[in-house]
Amino acid sequence: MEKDVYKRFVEDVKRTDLRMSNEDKFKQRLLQKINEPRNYSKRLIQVLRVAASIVLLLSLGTYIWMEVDTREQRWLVEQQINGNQLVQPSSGSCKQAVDKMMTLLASSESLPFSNKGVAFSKVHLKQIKSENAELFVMLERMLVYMEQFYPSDYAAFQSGETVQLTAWQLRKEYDVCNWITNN
Amino acid sequence: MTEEQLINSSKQGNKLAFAQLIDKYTGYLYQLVFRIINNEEESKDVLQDTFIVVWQKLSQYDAGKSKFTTWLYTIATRQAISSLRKRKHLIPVDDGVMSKYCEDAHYQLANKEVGGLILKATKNLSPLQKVVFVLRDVEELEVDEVRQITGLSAKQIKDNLYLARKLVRECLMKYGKG
Repeated sequence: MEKDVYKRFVEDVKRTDLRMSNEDKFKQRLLQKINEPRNYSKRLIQVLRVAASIVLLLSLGTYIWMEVDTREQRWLVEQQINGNQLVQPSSGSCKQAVDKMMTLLASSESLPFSNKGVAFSKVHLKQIKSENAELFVMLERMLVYMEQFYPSDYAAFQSGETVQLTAWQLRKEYDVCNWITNN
Repeated sequence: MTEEQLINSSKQGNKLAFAQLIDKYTGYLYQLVFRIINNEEESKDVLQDTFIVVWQKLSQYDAGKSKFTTWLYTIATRQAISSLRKRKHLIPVDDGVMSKYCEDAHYQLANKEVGGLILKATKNLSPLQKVVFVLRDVEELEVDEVRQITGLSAKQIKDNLYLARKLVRECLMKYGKG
């Protein structure tokens, strides 16, 4: 029964002679369309849309970048820091140079070395002067640098206090990399 | 002029030759498109777009690769599928014809009722299932030709046709019982 209904349906659809109403009018209109010059406006609109999207995205990107940059500059002004004073991330060669320096400081038996770093004071400096000339010269030069850029640490050292030096301090705070490369 | 001469002449931009091709194939393609679209105005629009594409791409037609009718069917079918996919609203159809048709085995279907009947019976079919159903069961085209027209594999055609037949049958049964 099911099959009969389906078969009948297909047969009836096949048998039906479908004719378009106003066929002549349709053909006339179609030929008119074909005679018209090809319309590129749709494609042009698409191209314009893509171009507008790109411009919009670029503008948005520039705006966000400027916003971030302005905030950073404002923050720097608030912090009373100029760009040159920003701590630069240490490079591999700087790390190596500082490590070498720390090894040299640690190898000196005159300087107390702990996991906090190397400590030195005026007393230690006197001892080093007689034991390790190379290290003494290095520390002297570093004291000059300290006096110039970190007067409070230098004052502490001058008053006889012990100054603690860690590799991190040397790389970041004391900006030893600059000092090493400039000396 | 033979069909081959008409095609070659149209390829060279002869609009009169193309007008003859339109004369020859309008009825033929309208039947196919209407059986897929089931609405006269939409079918006319699809057919118009089809002939415009044919005119624009005629230079790409290679007689060695496929028959001209297969090439026309391919363009018309793809335009019809695209139109079905874009269709945003359902076309209202009176249930009366469908019920009468399914309940009375001797009901004589009028030409103007066919569109609504197909639309109702195939309402649950996807555009591809509908196209495969029309091409295979109504137009009785060979699998190879349907494969060329739709770009589907033989297995996909078989699967789509199986589902289409099942869904149409179920729909007809529902009205028959109702």
